Amino acid sequence: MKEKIAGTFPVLARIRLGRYGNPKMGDYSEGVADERLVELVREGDEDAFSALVHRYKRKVLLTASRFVVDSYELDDVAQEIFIKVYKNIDSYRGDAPFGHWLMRIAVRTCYDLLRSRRREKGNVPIEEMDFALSGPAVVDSLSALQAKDLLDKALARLKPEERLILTLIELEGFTSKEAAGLTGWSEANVKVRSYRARQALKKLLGVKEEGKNEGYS
Amino acid sequence: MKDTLDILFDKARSMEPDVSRTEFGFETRLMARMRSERERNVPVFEWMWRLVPVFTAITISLGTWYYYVPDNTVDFGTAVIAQMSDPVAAIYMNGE
Repeated sequence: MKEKIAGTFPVLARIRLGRYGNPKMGDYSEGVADERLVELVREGDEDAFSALVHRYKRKVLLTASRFVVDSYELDDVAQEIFIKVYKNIDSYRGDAPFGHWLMRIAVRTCYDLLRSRRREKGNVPIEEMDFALSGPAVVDSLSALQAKDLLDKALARLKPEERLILTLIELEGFTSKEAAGLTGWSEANVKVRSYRARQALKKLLGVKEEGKNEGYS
Repeated sequence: MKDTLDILFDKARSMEPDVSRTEFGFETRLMARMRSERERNVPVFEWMWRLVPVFTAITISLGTWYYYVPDNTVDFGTAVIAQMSDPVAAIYMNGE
């Protein structure tokens, strides 16, 4: 009830906290723990939420940028992620770091985005890729930008779960265990999906089988 | 030895996405969106609470008006007739 009243009248929350008249985001220095900010958000303090957004926006934007097509979509998706965080803040139990909980929501939202995009595509035939990576020498000749563009095009043609897992493990640098925590899949499932995704990507890029260093990592 | 895919990933990873444009003013845009969404979904009970000051002001104004106006005539017709001379009132009453 107390939270409900504070939610309806944020000003009451501020009076109770003795912060009325000075509601700036800058009130919360870096020293204030995430958990304390979460408590304040639950009490209806918007500035505390703004401080949390300020802390985590870069991390969320960097991850989300791997799944979107332009900066407008990135802005929209990142806002959606933080709105979900705000709406579900009561379900954060504090048994894991807040940043980890937030990233789980971010990954889940990006996965939903990939799935909805695939539904929109429907049965439109995917055109053949106009390139083939015959070996490491060809990749070596590519600039970082070219490599990124090539990978973006190829990843866009994978299944949502394949793209998600490759992005998390290969581009974001998460371990299989961390990726399992973020996606909600089991670690074994993550490894299997990662292996299959690599195979699908190789096929798409025209990469021939090389040695036996392929597989679970 | 790294395979072709690993080299490709290494190169792509070395290019951190540029999110500075989206990062700029992100909190402001987010909070504005949240406020507008909240305004659209205001529950009825919250509107009732918001209207309390308005109704209080109306009640106080009406109370003051009734207190200070000497003749507390409520009937409009009576108030009009009271201002008229008798012949004019008779014409008015007869509808002529």
